[in-house]
Amino acid sequence: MKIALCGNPNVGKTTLFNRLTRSGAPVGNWHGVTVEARSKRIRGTDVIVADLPGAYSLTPRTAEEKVTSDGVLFGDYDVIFCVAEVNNLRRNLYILTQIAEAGKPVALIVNMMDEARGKVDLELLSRRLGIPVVGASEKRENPRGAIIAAAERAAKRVVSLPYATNREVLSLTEKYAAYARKIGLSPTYVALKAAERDESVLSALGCNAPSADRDLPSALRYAFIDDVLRGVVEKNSAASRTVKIDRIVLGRLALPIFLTVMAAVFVITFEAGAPLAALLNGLVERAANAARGIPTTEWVRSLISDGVIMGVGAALSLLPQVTLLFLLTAILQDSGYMSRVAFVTDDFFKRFGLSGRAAFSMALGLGCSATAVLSARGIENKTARRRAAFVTPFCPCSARLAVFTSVTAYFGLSGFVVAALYILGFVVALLALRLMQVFGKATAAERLLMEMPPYRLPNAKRVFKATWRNACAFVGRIGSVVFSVSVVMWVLGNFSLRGGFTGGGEDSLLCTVSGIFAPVFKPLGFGNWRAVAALFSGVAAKESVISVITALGGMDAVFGSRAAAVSFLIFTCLYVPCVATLAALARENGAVSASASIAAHTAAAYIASLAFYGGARLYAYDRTVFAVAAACVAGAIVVLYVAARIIVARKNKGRTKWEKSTNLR
Amino acid sequence: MTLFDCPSARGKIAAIGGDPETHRWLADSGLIGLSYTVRARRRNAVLVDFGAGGFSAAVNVATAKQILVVEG
Repeated sequence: MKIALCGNPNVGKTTLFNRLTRSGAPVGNWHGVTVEARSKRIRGTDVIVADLPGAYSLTPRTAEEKVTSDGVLFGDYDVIFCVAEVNNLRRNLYILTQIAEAGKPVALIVNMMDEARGKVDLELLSRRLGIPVVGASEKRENPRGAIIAAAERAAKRVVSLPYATNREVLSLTEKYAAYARKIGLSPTYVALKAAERDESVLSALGCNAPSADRDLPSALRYAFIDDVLRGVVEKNSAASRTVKIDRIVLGRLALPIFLTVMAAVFVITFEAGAPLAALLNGLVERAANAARGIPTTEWVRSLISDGVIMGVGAALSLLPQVTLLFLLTAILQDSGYMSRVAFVTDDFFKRFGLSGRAAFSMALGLGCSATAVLSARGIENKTARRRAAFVTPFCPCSARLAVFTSVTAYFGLSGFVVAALYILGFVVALLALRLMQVFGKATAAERLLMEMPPYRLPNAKRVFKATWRNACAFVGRIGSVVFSVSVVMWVLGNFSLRGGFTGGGEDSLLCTVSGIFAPVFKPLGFGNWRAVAALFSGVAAKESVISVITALGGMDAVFGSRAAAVSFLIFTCLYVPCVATLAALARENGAVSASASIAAHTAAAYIASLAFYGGARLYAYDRTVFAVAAACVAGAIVVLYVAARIIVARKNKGRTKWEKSTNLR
Repeated sequence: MTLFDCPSARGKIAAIGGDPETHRWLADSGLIGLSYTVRARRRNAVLVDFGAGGFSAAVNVATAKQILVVEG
């Protein structure tokens, strides 16, 4: 039997899916986490469950809603389970009515029962709807058995909706019956969608919209829902905890609170994780030293100690800090605060042609750029979606953090350097958005009606699972990609074409290949083959950069000065994203966009690094000359800014003040 | 008077204007006839509680200007 879980965003479908199938699909207390359908068998049964992305209606408005709509209408599911949140039943049942109109066997799961703000009579709800209703919550036992039993009951019946016999609805149903049969949909569903002026249904029918009131279907559905829910849910009381917290979090201090929270995340990550990272580093070095004493051939000893232990260990020693970042992000997600982030930052992102929805993608990008690129699917407007996906990789991910913390720790640089790198990535992302605004087409107004889930105390189990999943993914990447890259880099760095094992040095294969590109990086302060080899390895996985540096002789062999090290960090912060991210970008925006991303990232990294290293050298040489050069650069920036304003002013001719301020059509 | 520029924080949703797609989207949310309470205002969005014990949503200015309300 095949069943599908569908429903509004953020009702707990994926958490339920994970419980039923014992999976670890990513969840979050915000929208846009699930962007494609996934299926898995319930162990020990012949039931396959599909988790569909969140949707408010079967008329899709985003790419992820289309996945759900197509899955429900044209998929081969035996039963569709509508998952509804107990405190939001009225709105959540809307899609259930449409599924029933489409003639699909349907059942209801009322989720998050432990968070109900009053008593809920599920038996009455089931009698009124005429379908099986299952209550579920994370604190209750696994509802697997109840859901399977409900699926077997639901598969044998079709819901009859009282409003389907409404006089106008019947008349429309008769009118479109033949058309409906042709496109393989229920006549009631087609009739109501045509009355709503659903474009996809009207174009499939190849006819004009009927003259019926376009609000008739939604009015009938909500009248039915209100009847069903009468007496089912106990009335709620006054201002809840969520309202009280939002008065503070979303009041005048909204932006300072947000910035403070982000700053606290980074400070805790670096300061609390540093001692454990140092301890792990020490253990890795001891293990490598022990390996150097293994009685075997020289190249095997070198491979084990320098290639594997030091290479993989260097990335692994950053696990404490990366895990802390995952933990804190998971806590913020689970508490419900991340949804508020979109509201708080909406004004800000509007200036760059996006909505606060883009804040989700950028926040996800702090963990993994590839995931963040995919999450941009939830942005409705196509131009805004493509731009958000394009600029998100400029925000440093956890893998780049691994490089930042290693180099800054080695050279005794302040934690503010790492914070500055994050700010740099963010600023470059905004600059890229601004350039696209100035030279590209305007974005249409995004219809942001974004639900705010209630605040809840982060659930320890959910937070732990999310942190564990992300940490395992990090370790998995180290175990697979970083291990492979470390070994390959060790081979290239310790063997030559002529004489076999060289034990490192400048006649190695790696030196030969990287050496060809090294002069390009000389103006940036790290024009040596080791640094170039590390950067090349970072295209596979950024964690490899540190492993390769370690395998090729360590920080002192790569960087001649602290300025060169910081210049390298700036380049690493901005240059080409990893192949996983490029693949995600190619999938979402196309190969041309992915290629443009490579060019844009490389150019941004080179210019920023050059500016920094050139400035640092000039400052060390002569402060007066540096001051004059800085003034000239500042002047050039002002001139460019004024020129951009003139271009924008010419473009804005004829638009209203509000349209100009938000760069919307 | 619209949801965006109504001076009072409480009222009822009277009607929904806007282009066909936006109208459909808002009507599907079941807003027509619901009570509302504005909890927070920003330059480009308002945070609103819809219905008694219903749902809360951040509504951007383009959308809020298409929702006609009656105060009280």
